[in-house]
Amino acid sequence: MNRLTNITKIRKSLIDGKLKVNDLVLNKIKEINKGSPNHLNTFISLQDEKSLEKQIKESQERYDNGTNKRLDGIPIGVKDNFSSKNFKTTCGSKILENYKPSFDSTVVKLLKEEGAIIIGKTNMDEFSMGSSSTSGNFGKVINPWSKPNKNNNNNNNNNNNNNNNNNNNNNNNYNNNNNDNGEILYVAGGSSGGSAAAVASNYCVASIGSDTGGSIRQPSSYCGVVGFKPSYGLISRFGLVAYASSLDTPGVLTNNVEDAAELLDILIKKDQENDSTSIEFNNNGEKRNILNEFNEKLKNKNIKDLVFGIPKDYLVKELDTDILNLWKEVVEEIEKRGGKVVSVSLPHTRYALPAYYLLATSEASSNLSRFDGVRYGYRFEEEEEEEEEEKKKDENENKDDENKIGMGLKDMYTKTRTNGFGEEVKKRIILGTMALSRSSYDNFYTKAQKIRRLVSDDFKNVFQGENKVDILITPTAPSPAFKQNEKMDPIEVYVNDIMTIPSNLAGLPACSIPLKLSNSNLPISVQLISNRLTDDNLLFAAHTIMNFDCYKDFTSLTPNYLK
Amino acid sequence: MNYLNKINKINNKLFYSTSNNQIKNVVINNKDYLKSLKTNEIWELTVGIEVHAQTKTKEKLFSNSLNIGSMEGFKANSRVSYVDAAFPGVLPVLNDKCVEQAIKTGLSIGGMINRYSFFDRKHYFYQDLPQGYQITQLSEPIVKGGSIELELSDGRQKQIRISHIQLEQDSGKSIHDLHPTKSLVDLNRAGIGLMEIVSHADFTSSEQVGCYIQKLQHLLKHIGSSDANMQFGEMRCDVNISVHKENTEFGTRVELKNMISAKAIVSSIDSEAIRQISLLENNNKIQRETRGFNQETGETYHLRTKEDEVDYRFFPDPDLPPLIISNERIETIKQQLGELPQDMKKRLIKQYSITNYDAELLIQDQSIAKFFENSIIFNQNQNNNNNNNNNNNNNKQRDIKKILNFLLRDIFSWLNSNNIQDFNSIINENQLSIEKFTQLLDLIEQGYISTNIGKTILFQILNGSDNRSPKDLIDSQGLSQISDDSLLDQLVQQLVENHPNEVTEYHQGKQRVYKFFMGEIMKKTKGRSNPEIVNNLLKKYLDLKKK
Repeated sequence: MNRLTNITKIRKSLIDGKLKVNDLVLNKIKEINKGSPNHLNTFISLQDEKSLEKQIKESQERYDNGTNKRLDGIPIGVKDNFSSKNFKTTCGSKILENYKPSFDSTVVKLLKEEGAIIIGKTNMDEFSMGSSSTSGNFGKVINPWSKPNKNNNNNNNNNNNNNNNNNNNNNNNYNNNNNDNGEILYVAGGSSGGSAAAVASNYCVASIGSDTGGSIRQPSSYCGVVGFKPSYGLISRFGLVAYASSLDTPGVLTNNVEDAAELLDILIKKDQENDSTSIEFNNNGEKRNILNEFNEKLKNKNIKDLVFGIPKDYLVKELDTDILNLWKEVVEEIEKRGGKVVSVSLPHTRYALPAYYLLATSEASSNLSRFDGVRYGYRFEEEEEEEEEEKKKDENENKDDENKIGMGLKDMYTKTRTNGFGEEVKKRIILGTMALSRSSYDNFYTKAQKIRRLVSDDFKNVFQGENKVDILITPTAPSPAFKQNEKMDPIEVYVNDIMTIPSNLAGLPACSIPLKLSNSNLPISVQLISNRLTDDNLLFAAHTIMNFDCYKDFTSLTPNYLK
Repeated sequence: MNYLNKINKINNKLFYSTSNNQIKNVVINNKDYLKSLKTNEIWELTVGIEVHAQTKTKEKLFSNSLNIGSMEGFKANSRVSYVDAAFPGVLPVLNDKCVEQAIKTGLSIGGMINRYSFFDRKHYFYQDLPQGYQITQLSEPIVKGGSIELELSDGRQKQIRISHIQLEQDSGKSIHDLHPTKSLVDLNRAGIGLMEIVSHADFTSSEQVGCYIQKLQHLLKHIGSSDANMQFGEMRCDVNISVHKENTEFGTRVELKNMISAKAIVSSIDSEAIRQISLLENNNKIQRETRGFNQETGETYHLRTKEDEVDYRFFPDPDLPPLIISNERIETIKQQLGELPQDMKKRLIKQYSITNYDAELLIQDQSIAKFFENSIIFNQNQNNNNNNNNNNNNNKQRDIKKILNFLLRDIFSWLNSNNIQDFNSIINENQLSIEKFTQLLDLIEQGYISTNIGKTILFQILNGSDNRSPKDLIDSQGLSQISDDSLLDQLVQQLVENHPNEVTEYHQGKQRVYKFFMGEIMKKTKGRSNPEIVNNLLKKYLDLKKK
C-alpha cells in the first residue's frame, strides 16, 4: 500500500499541485469514519465541516500562490487535553464534556500559525490518568493492530460505535475481546491512545500528545508509531490541562523521525509570558535550532559517534520474550555497524514507580481542585437531584424557585466532583490528597521527592560518568498491547509505566521507536533516552536505528484491523 | 486619613484604653499589664499580628490583569484573566514588580531578603478561590526578620520583631446579600498580590497594636509598596491573642479575623482580653478558636474552632520555579528606597531644630515633608545671587516657624475641613504650587501683606477658584499693606489730634484706649497698614501729647 506519510513528501506533492489539500483532508475524514462513524474511537470531537472547508480553501490558496507555510493543509490530531479555541477540550472527562476554551494552548497556536489543520481532538484516558485509553468518558480507543473478524470486514460489530457527539456512556460495542468470529480487540495504550491510534491508522499525518509518565511513548509502542517526549520545558505547557505539572510534557507522535524533528522545530519555543517552566533549547547558553542540529548530524555523523548504554535495571521479570529479544537484537545490530554499547546501572529505577505515583497523584489532587462546577464545565444541578427524588416521591406542588434554599456549596462541590470524575481519577485524587496531608507528607511526598533526585542523579552518572553514554536503550513497555477488557490488577497496570517513568522524573528527552511485529503480530518498540537538552542527539539516534535494513520497512506496514 | 486627628489620637491615648469597669491598663517597671478590677490580679497580654497589604502594582501577582486593589465601583468580574479564574491549562507567571515591592518592604523594616524563596500551594475549597488553592509562601518566604520601633504615648519605646513577609494571592469576594438563595462571586480582587507581614507575638497592649498598624501603614505608603488603606481593604489584619499571669506559661491563643479598621482591632483586642480573663478567673478554659468582632456590640463572637479547619496540604507549587534574588538586585532597590520615615524624622528634627510633634506631622506623608523642605530654600539661592554676590549669605533660608505654621496649622485644617485625604492632590499648578507658597511667604516677610491677609490669600489659593499668583491676587483685591510711612504718619497724627479725650484717658493709664486708636487706623486702612509701623507712630504721637 502506498501510504503518503512523510510531511516533507506531502508538502512537496501539495506544492507541485499533484495533491490538493481538499483531497488530503477529506480522505482522512473518510478513513476516520470508514466502517462506522469515528471507527476506532480515536477522536472525541472532529473539526466542524465549515471551519474545515474554510481552512482547506485558505491553505490551498497559499499553495496556489506560493505562500504556503510549513504545515499548510497538513491534518494534525491533537490530544483532547490541549486547549483549542472554540473547539471542545474535554480531557476525556464528563466534568469538561461541553467545555470550549476561548483561547488556544501554545502548542495549538504554533501549529495553526504554520497552517496545520487541527482535524480533531484525540481520545485519551480521563485527565491522562491511565495506560490504555479506556478510562475516558467517551469510549475506548481501539488499537488498529487488533485482529479483525475473519469472515467479514468488521462492519457488523461496530455499528453502535460512539460518534463524536454522543458521549453519554462508557460502553461502546467493543465488549468482547474474543469474538466467535475470531476478532480480538487490543488497547491502544495510554493515555495518548487516540493520538497514537490516529497516526497508526493514517487518520492524520501526525499528532500531539502529552507525556506524564509514558503517555506518549507507551501508546506509540502499542500502535507502532514514533513517540517523542522532549526535555521538560522545551515545549510550552500553556493551555495543556495539567495532570502533574512537574512531569507533564507535550510531545509528538509521528510516522517517522523526520516528521518528529519538523514538528519539534515548530513547537520548541520559549514561552516565558505564559509558562514559567518554559526554557530555551540551548547548549551552555547558546541558543540552538533542533532541526538544523538534527540535519547537521545526519550529514556529518554516524552510529560510530554514539555510545549506547543498556541499563540492566530495566530487565524486569514482567518483560515479554519478544521484547527482550528485540532489545538484544537492537544491541547486536548496533554493534554490527560499529556502534559502541556498554552496560550501565541505574540503581534507583525500582523506586521510581512508587515515587512517581505519589508525586503525580499529589500534584493531580491539587491541579484538579479547580474543577468545582463554579466557573465552567459540568455542575451538578438540583434538577438532577430532583429528578432522582421525584422518581421516588409523588410530586406535590410547584416550588417557588426564587425562595428555595439551594443545596449549599459543600454539597454542590461533592456532587459535582463525585459525578463529574471517573473512578480512576477519583482514586488518584484520593491517593494524592492522602500523600499531601499533614500526617503523611513527610513519609510520602518528601520521600518521593528524594527518590526523584536519586533517579535523576543515576542518569547524570551514566551520561556524565566514565562511559559518557549518549543514548540509553530500553524497552518502551514490558509487553505489546494487551487485550481490551482484560481483567488486570491495578498494580499490574501501573507496572506498565515502569520503563517510561524514570525519564519523566528526570525531565529527560525520551523516544519510542517501532521496529517490528511480535510473534502475535503486534508492534514492538524500544525506547531511547538521552541527556537533558540533547534532544537533537536523540532524534539522530532514533532515525539511525529505525533506518537499519532490518527495521526500515516497518512503517510501510498497514495495521491488520484496517486492511 | 485625617492629618491632625491621626496624631491627636495617639497623643490623646485613644489607642490606650481598655478602661472599663473590669480591666485597667497598668504599667509596671516599664512593662504593660492588665489589671483585673474584680480580683486585682495582674495579667499579661500576648498578641501577634498578621497584616495583609496589597502590593501597589499595575498588575496582579501571577497574571497581567489590572490590579484595582479592593476599590469599589468597577463592574464585577471585569478585571479577571483566565489565570485569575483558573481556567484549565493556564499557568501562573510571577509579576516581578510585586517581588520588588516585597523587597522594598523587607528592606524598610531591616529584614533579610531571602536569596532563594519559593511558592507553596495552600488548598481549600471556596467559591471565591478559583484554583482551589492559594499560591503563598510557607517554608521559604521572601523576607525573614526585621522589626518596627514603636513610640508609645507616654514616651516609652517598644520594638516589635517581624517574623517574615510572604508574597501570596488575594482571593475573590463573595457577596451573600444580593440574592435570596445564591451567593455571588466577584473575582476582580482574585490574584492581586498580597504581602503578608507576620509579627512575632511581641505586643503586650492594645495601644502597641494600634501604634504598630499606624506605623506600618505609614511606612508602606511612604516607600510606595502599598496604598495600605484599611477602609478600602488594601490592608487587613488578623490578630492572635492570649492572656496569662506573670511568670506562667502562655495561654491558649485565639485568632481574631477580618478586622477592617485600626480602631476595630484595638477595641477587639481589649474586648477579647476581657473575655479571656473573665473565663480564666471563673475557672473556665480558653478554647482554640477563630473569632470575629462585632463593632456594634464591641464584642468578639465565635466563628469556628480549630478542629473545623481543613488540612491545607501545603506543597511547593510545581508551576513556579524558585524565586532567586541576586545581591545586585537587592542593592539596586536599596539605593532607590530613599529615606525611611524614622530616618527622615530624626534628620528633620536635627536639621531644622523642630519639635518631635511637628516632625511626626511632617513625615505622615512624604510629600508634605518634601514640600516643607522645598519651601525653605526654593528660589532663595537665585535671589541671593542676583541681589548680591556675597557668598557667605548664599544659603539664606525662609523662616521655618512661619512655614510650619502655614503648613501644619492652616493647610492641615483646610484639608480636614474639606475632607481631603491626599496632600499631593492639592500640590499642582492650579492650586498650591511651591512657587505660589514661597511667593506668599516672601510677600509677608517683605511686609507687603500682613500675616492675616496672607492666610486669606492662602485659602483663596487652596480653594482653587483663582489661578493667579499670590501677588496678583493681593493686588487685584487691593490687599497690600500701606507701607507709605508719610500717609500713615498723617493718619495717626490726625487721629491723635481729633481725640483729645481719649489721649487724656490713655495718659491716665487706660490701656484699652490704645486698642481704640489701633482699631481706628485699621478701620481707615481696611486692615492694610503694617501694625508695627502704626504701633511706632501711635506711641510717638501719643508721647508728644504727654504733658
